[in-house]
Amino acid sequence: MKNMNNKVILTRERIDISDVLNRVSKSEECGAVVMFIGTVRGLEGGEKVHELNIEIDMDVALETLQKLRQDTIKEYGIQDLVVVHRYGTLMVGDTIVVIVVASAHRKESFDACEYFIDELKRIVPIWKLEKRENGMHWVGSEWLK
Amino acid sequence: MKLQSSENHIGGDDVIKVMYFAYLKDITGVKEEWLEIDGNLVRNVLNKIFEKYPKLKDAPIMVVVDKKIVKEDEVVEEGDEIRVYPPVCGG
Repeated sequence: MKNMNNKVILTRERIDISDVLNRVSKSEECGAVVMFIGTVRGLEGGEKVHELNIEIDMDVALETLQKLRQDTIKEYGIQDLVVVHRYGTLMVGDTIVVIVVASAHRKESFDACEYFIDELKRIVPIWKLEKRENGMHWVGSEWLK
Repeated sequence: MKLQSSENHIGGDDVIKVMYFAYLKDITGVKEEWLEIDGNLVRNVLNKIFEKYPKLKDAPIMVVVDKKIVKEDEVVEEGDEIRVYPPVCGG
């Protein structure tokens, strides 16, 4: 995560929130910075979760996120957007994703941030395998039953 | 249906590389394989997959070619890699 011009990052390492904030470009007109942090829940469907394994189709995910970032900046008129997403093994409470959006006023940042995380969940090839107290569970695999 | 490993693949415009992700690998038992396809549409590839793995029929799977989500009526070309995803759930 050393190149500070890198605005879309997929990493196995723990996310440093201040590092993500420092990557956001802001002009003098910027008056709002909104951050979303997604974390590992310790309880799902009444079952304890001990661990989360995140799998990513790296090349496609990177390109999809880069395009989504560009589209979001254009659509919402925001100044910048940075996203960092983890993969590999995470523990309960760990940060999965951080999205930071900067804009002149708060409304466009809130709206852009919500749109970005909704789209990320809809189209970016990322999957979660939970290690629960009663066994392993792929998130979103209920259709198999 | 003819199935070849990537090592044995010797070409042919009706043979397509298909890659499976996340728990689809558990269902198919392979990460990737070469499938002989009748036709040149994404739909034809899906039909072949459903024929081989009936459990995936009517599944809410997503198909990606050249890093883009494709629809069933889009054309598949020689050399394309077909990525088959179960529903994604990042964030």
